[in-house]
Amino acid sequence: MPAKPAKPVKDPGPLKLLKALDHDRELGGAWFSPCGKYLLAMGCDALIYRWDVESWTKSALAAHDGWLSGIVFHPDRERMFSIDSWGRLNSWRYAEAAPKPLWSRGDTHKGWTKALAISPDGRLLATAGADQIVRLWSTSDGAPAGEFAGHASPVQSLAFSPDGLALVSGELKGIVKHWDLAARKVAREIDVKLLYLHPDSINDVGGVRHLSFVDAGRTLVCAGAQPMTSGFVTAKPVVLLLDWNSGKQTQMLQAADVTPQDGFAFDVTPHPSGHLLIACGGSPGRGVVWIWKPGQPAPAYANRELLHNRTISLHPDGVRVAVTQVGRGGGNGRKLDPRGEYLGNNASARVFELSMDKVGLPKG
Amino acid sequence: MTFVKVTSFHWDTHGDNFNLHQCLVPKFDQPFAALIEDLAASGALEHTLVVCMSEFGRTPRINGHVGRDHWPEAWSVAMAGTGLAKGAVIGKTNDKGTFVSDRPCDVGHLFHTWFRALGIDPHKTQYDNQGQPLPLANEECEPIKEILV
Repeated sequence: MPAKPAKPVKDPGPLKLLKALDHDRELGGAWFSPCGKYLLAMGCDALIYRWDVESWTKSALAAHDGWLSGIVFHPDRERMFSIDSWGRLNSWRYAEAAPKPLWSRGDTHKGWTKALAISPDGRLLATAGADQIVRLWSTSDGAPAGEFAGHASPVQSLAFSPDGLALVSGELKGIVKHWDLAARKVAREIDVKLLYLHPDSINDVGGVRHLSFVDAGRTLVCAGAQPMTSGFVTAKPVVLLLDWNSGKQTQMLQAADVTPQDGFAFDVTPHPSGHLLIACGGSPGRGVVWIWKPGQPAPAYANRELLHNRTISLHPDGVRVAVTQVGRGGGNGRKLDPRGEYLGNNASARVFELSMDKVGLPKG
Repeated sequence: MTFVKVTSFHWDTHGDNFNLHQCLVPKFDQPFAALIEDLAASGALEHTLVVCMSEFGRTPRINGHVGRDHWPEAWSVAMAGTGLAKGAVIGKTNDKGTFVSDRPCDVGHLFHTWFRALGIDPHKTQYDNQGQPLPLANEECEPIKEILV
């Protein structure tokens, strides 16, 4: 018989899959360590998972009480800090063979803790969550270093400005507060209520899910969604770019083909080229990764095969990218596995080789 | 007998379950607690049955949209007032919260229990739909005796 012609290999485009790190439970996100040797992931089972990015061996760091809700790295490239939904804040030397917390405190906040940030000089941590308070902690021993009150809804995101003079905190109701760290008071409020909806006077939907600074601190990035409904939460992912000096919006990043099922822009990572890598996750079966150069009217690249994305991390080599995705879930009803057990959800951290030379010019 | 139904809606949290619950739970929890306290303080709870329920539970694990889908295998009903023992907890799920592991009850058991608590004979038959005999409660079920006084 004549041999069948070889199936043409599909060009993977700018994101060529190197490794799919499948996990049998949910992950909230994963980031490459600044030393480049590890990928550290937030488990929903109170564990931090650490993959060696050469051997892909996996180990777990155990000292948390609830879902991991934040991981940041110290500028010394050796220490890592993590926080969970129950408010436990831990300090680690993440590269040790069997890391144990250098210090740990379980009393940071009442209620769900949602955000963690570290100052550029590595001296301070900021935490926040459902109790609407922003608290500061010393990175050296976890001692309290101040707190800011004034939010009117749960705080979902935090970021220090690159000059270390300001902390920004984003809340559910679409307000970003700029805290003056020297004066220890609020300097201004920035309205990003596009990211918030209060349908039927019942639910507060949306919020500022991500804050970061790019362009040497000249631009504040606010990410989330334009919520359309409650319940199912139909929402269009959006990233707002704000001029840090004036607080005015300079650009709204939202692709023309976006739908209300595409959900939230959960994470934004800058690439040295100036592009932003944006991870969006939506209704089960939806999601998109955008690579977008600010100033351009449309994404330079959009990948709609990546679904339910939570975070996107760039390796220090500037080439490898990790996208964390959660599974679709079982949907309604009694879907069970062959053993008759409940079909729970899962996750995957997918590591890609990013070829920026394949990222095209914006379309549309 | 007066029957009052109060509806709290938007609990169909297939997406962003946890943030929505932060809005929904206090709006239900505080008025519900106040209702029970007011009824107790006025003495009305002695002749009023309060039932808090939904038609099904939510999936024990979240879906790809950080939501919970429909899960009809295990969920709870809270009750207070006339004819009921205080502080009784009946039934439990397995350690994963997925299935009932002890003392399952269905809506037939609940109707028997409510009618007993209210002093209505649950074995009574009504004749409706052009004389069709309709039992007030499922004849194959019994009251949940552990929560009746």
